[in-house]
Amino acid sequence: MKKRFARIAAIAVAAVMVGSLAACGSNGGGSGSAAPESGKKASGDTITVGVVYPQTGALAAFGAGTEEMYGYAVDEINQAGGIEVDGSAKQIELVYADSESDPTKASEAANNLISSKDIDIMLTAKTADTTVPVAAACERAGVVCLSVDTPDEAWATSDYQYSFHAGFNTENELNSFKDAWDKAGISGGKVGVMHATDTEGQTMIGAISAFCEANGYEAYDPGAYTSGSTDYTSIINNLKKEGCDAVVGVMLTSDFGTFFSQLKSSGYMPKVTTVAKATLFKEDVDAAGANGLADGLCSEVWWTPSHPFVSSITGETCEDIGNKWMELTGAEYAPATAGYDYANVEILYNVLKNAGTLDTDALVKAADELSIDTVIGPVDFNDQHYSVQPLVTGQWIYNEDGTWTQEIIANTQVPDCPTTAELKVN
Amino acid sequence: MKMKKQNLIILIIAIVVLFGILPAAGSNNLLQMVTLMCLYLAMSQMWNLLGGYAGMLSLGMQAFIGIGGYTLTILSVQFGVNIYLSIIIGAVICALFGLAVSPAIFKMSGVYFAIGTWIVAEALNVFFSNWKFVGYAKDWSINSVFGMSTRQLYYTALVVAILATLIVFVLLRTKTGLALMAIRDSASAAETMGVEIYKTKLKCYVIACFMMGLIGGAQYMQTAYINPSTGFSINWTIAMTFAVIIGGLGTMEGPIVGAVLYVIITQIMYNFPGMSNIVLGIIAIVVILLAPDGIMGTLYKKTGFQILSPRRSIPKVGETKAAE
Repeated sequence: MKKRFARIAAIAVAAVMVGSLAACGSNGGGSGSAAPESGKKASGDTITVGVVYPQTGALAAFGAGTEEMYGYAVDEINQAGGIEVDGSAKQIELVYADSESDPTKASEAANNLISSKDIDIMLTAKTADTTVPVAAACERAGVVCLSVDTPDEAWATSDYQYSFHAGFNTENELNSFKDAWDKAGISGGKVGVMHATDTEGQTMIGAISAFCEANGYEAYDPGAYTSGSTDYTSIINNLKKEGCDAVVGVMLTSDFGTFFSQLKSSGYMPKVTTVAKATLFKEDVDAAGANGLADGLCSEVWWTPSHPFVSSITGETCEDIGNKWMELTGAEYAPATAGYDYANVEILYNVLKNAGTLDTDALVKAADELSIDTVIGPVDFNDQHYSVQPLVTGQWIYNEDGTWTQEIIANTQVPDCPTTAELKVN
Repeated sequence: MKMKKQNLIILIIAIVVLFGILPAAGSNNLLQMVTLMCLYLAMSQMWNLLGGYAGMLSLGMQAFIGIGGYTLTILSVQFGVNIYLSIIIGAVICALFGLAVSPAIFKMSGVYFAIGTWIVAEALNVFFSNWKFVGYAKDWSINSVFGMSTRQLYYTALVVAILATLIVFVLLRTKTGLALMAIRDSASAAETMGVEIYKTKLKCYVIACFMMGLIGGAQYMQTAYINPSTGFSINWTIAMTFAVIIGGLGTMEGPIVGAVLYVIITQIMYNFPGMSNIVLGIIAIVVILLAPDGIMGTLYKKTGFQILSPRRSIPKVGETKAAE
């Protein structure tokens, strides 16, 4: 009796396992007969575009609005008849996957899209934790990957063959901060550098000495911190001891919040604080500390609805894009990601249009040769496959009613983007 | 159960044929899923060897995944060493590291051991973030694996999975295995019977560390990206634990079933963002409440079904000849 049970159970388990394997196989959209390695499916009437971005987890706020904006831009293209590829007009179809704000998951999500959805091209965005692993997965599989929303050097961790990126570089970041230092009247002063041990922190500390020297400032390194650190006392003491006139850094929002509240309570405050990455959104600057802790903080601004650029798809202005964002998401303002989300689809559109085919080599060539004006400025990929976008300088002001305004205080890199206020000095 | 050996041979032949024809017959997607299954299977098998048999509930196995991944990265990307050689060197480093930390963590047992191993892994995360040689906490693209075919990754993972299963299979049928199961059932009773607990545990631990290094290397061939917080992430151990618990702790089939289910569930959950952890959590809770022995453990209790696990404890009626 028992033996029969055992046998039935064995067969049942085997059947379930084989059945589940078969089910997974059919997930591939019947691509079982496709050529094995990155073989493209026989052209249907759609171009399948994979999108990996953080829908959940720590970066979820960064990912908010992505589907709305990508969908809006793709609808524009599709409604205008799609894109002419291999001799016929095709519609773009977006398939999304969640990175869960985790690089390993981002890589797995990208692999999943590549193999199970048989995508023709990949889009990704929202920090190096997403764009770098997705690019690596695409490089491994030989799929073209277009990305935005990450500093160029942090993205360019390797020589890429199939991946292209539009972001800003450290030089532009530091230049946008220098504008704030100049306006604070501390020319020739000492600048303390807050840097974590991560890629962006290392890039900044590696570049800042030469930058400061060339611009008549003096850089001071108070020592690196490990992201997630809860005690910045020794670093703050070093900054204090050296009498730094300004503090510059590239920090995570959570690290910045901890650091800045300890800086405030130390009784020492530099004339101007310029920190990248930490405060892209109003939610971030609010999260950095209660009661307007970060009031007066300067940060790099990637994009605003006042930027003087227009869409290469429809000719819409940045203001139109910003309004559309607010309409689609119900948000009260359009953050920088609105413009960059739209621009990612613009780049996709132009690469596909110029290539005129879904062949990987032709797509790479089209991206290599790309030179277009987008809502984030001119995009032209260099030998390392990235394009350098301009920045302006913003300062967060805490209003009496508890809201935040980001004033544009310097516009050297985009002179046609109007400044809205003078720098407020501590 | 008399035909066990014969069954086993048929099963092995069937599996070999199935896995052999898979690259030719299956889609890329299927191949990639099986690759992931193989990797998670190997991890779970090793975790089960420690947690299920040797009574060492480790929460720090990610330490070795990280070391394996980093060795692969640094050697192959930075110094141009052959990928497979890098992975093997990584595994050796893991075994040595395991040996080095064992005097300290073996002083602890139970929940203290779990926390101790976790702390080792976290310490490594911090150490790597501040270690110049590995570029501090920078993001590495492992470009030595760029362009590598899905088939090659599949075969690598398959070899690792077979090796892991084989090691456990053979180990449990040696004197060490006997000692392990004695320890699993009652450590103090085993000790009074003359089992050298420390030595046995150490042997298992070093084997598991070595294999984890191998698996870490194979895993990062697939991921192609590493930084300290992902390499030394507790998520690796959570995945192993999950697979072993739903599959069946202290059985050899459990980790296999668990790993297959884990991969299928996570792959399906890509279509439902944010739900993956909720679903995995609910499944784990339900299994723990309804079938605390896991799927295979419960199956064994109800029907006596087993293929790979040697069971020398509490033989079922009429099955006394079953052992060996």
